[in-house]
Amino acid sequence: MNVIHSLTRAQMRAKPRRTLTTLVGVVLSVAMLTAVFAGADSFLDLMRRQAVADMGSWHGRVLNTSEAVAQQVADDFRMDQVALTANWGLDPAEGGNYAGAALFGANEAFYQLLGVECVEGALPETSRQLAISKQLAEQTGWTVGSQVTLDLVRAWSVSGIDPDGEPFYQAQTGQWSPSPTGFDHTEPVGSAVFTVTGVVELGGFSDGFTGWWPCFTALDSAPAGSRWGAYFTMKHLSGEIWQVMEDIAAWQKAEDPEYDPKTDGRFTNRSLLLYAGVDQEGSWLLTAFYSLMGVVLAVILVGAVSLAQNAFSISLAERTRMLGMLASVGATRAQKRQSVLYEALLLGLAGIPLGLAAGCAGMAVTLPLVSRQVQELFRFGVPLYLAVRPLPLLGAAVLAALALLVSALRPAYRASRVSPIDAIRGEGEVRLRPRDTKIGGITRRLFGFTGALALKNCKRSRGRYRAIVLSLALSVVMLLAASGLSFYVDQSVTMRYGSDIPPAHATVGLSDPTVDPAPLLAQMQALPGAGESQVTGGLEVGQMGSWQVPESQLSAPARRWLDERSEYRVQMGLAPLAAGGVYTVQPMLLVLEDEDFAAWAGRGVTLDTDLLDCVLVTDNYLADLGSFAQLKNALRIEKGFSQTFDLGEGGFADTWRVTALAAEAPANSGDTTLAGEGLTVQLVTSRTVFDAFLARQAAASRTGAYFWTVLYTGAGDPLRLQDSLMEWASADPDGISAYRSAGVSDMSGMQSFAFLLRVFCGGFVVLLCLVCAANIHNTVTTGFELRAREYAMLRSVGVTPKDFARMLRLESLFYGIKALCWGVPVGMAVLALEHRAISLNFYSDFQVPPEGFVLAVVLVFAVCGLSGWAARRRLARQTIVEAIHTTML
Amino acid sequence: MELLRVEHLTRRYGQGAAQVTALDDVSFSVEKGEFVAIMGPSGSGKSTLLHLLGGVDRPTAGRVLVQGTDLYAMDETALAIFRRRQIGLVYQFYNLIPVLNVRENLTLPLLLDGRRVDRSLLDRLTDTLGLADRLNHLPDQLSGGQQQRVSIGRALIASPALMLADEPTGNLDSRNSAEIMALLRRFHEEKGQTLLVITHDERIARQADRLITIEDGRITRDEAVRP
Repeated sequence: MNVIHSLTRAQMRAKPRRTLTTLVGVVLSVAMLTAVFAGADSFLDLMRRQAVADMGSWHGRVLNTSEAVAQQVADDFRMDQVALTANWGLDPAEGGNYAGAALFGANEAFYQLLGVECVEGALPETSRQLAISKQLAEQTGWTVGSQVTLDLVRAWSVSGIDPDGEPFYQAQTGQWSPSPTGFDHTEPVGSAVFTVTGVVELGGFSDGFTGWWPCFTALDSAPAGSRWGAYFTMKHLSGEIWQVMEDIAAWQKAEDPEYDPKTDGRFTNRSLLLYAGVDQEGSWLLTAFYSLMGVVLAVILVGAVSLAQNAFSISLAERTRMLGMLASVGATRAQKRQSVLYEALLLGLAGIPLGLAAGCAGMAVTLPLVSRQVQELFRFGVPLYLAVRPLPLLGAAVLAALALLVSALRPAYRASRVSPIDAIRGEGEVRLRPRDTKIGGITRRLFGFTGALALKNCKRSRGRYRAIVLSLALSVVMLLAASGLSFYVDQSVTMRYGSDIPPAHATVGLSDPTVDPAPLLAQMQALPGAGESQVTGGLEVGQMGSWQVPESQLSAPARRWLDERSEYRVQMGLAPLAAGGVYTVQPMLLVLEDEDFAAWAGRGVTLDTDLLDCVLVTDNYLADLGSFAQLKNALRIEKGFSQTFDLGEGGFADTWRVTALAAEAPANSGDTTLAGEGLTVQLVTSRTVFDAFLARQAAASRTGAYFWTVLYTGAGDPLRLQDSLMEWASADPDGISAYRSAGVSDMSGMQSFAFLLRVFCGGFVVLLCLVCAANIHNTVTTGFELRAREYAMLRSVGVTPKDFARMLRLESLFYGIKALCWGVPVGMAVLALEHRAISLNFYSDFQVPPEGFVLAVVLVFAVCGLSGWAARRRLARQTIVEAIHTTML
Repeated sequence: MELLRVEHLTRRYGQGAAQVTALDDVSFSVEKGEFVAIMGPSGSGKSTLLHLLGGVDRPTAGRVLVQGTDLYAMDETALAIFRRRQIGLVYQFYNLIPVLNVRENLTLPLLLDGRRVDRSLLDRLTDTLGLADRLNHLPDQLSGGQQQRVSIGRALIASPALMLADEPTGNLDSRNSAEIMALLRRFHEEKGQTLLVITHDERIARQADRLITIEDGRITRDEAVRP
């Protein structure tokens, strides 16, 4: 260790707080980089495990082929493991709810590659032993030890016509096979007696088995003419697999007389290959995944480099005098440069391993916590946990080291240029230009002389000033972007599913208006697990007629959205929404119990029972082919608007009228309305008005489609309710109701997505803000300390303690104001981009999340204020004389 | 008329065995309009005395009264306000505020006090200091002599009762030193400014009315230089 190294270490020890803050910043940055790498790798691992759970761990397969082809696959030098199956034939069931048993001979590798697990007994070792699938065990009642006789047949179905007009027969193995009655030709194989030795879960072999349930014996003694399958893993998984698949195709053509090019039986385990990075078709998915990762990494790197570069610049400013003195006694440029680079090395040596550990620990805790939501979102059966390979960790470490090196280069260059005169002149402050210290009259008037002085102090060191403002502005932008994303996704969830969907509902459709719904509703409300509930009802779309609205009558945002949708529909080959510039509008009626209606609409709204009096919901959501829009009174309907309808042929006929307007739909109403073939408007009325309407229809012997719904707002036992709802919905028709439907909300997927988005965006933003906070803390405190003598001077010429504190507070405040001046417009631009991207599917007027702005402002001033406060406390402890002496030494 | 009274002023640094007595029971007084030079070897306590007279340090014992006001009986805020109105300090290393231009540095005590700057006073002062064409310059655009002239102007702008200078020429060449001393003498003679100057330079000390010599924190000599 040379003298430069000793001095650098001494300097770092002399400023333990700054060194520690910088180290914390480096650790956080590395931890974030590690978290991104580890998170991405764990996610890929999850995908891979899910692919294995779904399909097995094989890379490629060929099914329903000849023994010769299967053997060629098994003998190929490029293969690692090969699982072989031989379908002996099928044993059609006599009665029962299944098609029959499909017998496969299988080798040992089969159970491993396909994830077929023995859950009871043992796997067969001879061709007289049998392992049966769990489903077969349930259907037949066979257990371990049962002696069973299988009467096997081979079956074929016609899959097409040959060029010469002959039908082409495809052998059936039970996988994707029709029931026995769907076979076009069968041949007996014979009977065989087996002893059941085990029961297996099908794992990755369940694909394609619905009526025929497989059972397995040893591979040897498969009868001639069996249809074979081969599943393989490659020794070296690479693009070579595409060549293997082509070779298999050639073998099939040459050596399988029953080969059918239309259903060639060749597959690759696409998901598994994709997550191993070997997939041609899916490469865009990986590209998108890695691009997203790249963007996140880039943002982290900007924060990390800004922090580190600033830390080194500060350290250099503190050391300029020392370096100048070293220069005066003969230190070379390289030696001076080494001083900064050595500091970077020490910080890297301590910070990178700590950051790697912190990042992995963070993800090890976070991933299992969000596993349930990830599983719900992607409908995965396997849990998410930390699974990171050494290479991504190495990547994070290398990236962090590079970031440190890049950050140190400029300060190192500046260090190499420090001359002896710098030691004599002072503390290495950046030379000031008069225009840097120009302050407008407004600032002076607003904040007084101390304010003006504070602002001048802010701007004195351009590099440091920019670093602080950049760090803070970056935090503001990230915070706004994250809150915006969360806000827009929540908005989209609301548009898609309504603002408040109950956990479950049951609907009964009726046509006869004389039916008393009370017994039906009582039965629905008393379903096991039901708990609290609410009754609503309504008329089906189209049961209140329709009317024509010219395009010009619609609100501008509605016109814009509908035009876009129409264009899209035309592109898709569908009819546009408007015909000849005229839209057809259909009302939808929702009926609330009288108390619920009064609570929603307010006691002031009174309805007339002589006609279908109702309240119009103005802020309804529209949906069309997966695109959603939130449009405020698109049709510009006013109070008093009415329509008379007559569906004719004994259908409903009446007059409806808008008595009042309401902005939002009632809770739990599912306020999304489908544009479908035209526009819809949402009307709401009370039970009394609706009963009067039904009575009028009954008196006129009219019928139509209407419904009653029970909303289970507080299910006592949601799982039990789910079961009883399914049972209720599939029960035989009662002769009164036209249909029964029931459902549980499918919001969980989107909610999980919104939750995950919040967790990851929030975590990411919090960490990034911490890095920025470390940066700012370092800069502000060191900036204050470097100017301790100036501050002492100001105090000696009569600045009062109060004014002094005010000046330092204002200095911190100005950093915050400046950062908001940059951060808020850029953040707004990012919000606009996010909104635009989401509006492609979920149209709404541009809105900004107010909580994001509040949070950004609070964060900025909290960080600045706390840093300034810490620095002030340290300065206040020094007397004027101490400050003058210390800094003059 | 007595302007400054120092009574049993003592300043100790550190504790126990490491305790150092920088100033030991010093007492003296200065008349209004007097020019006093304080001399002594390095470490004798000159600067400590000056800091205590200027109200920027706290004594271990004793009192400092300027125009009858006990500096250390005041709280920090009152003392700061007293300093900017009644005491002008000039340091060896100028200690100008680098982000303020010459005009702002000169008028700093008035700006802090929220007082209007008397334009004619400023013009006269800058003419006297030879800084009229440097008012918009930043300190690092000035020579050492010019910077010291700014710090003298800053000390005088508020017309203080007492001006204290700690080796004001210690950092300057002989020509600039002579110019600075001529300036100080001029303010003393023309305006009757009370002046206490710490110096190592006997030629400067001889220009004062009175010379106080300090050794080991005690006054060893107090003599009239010029009658």
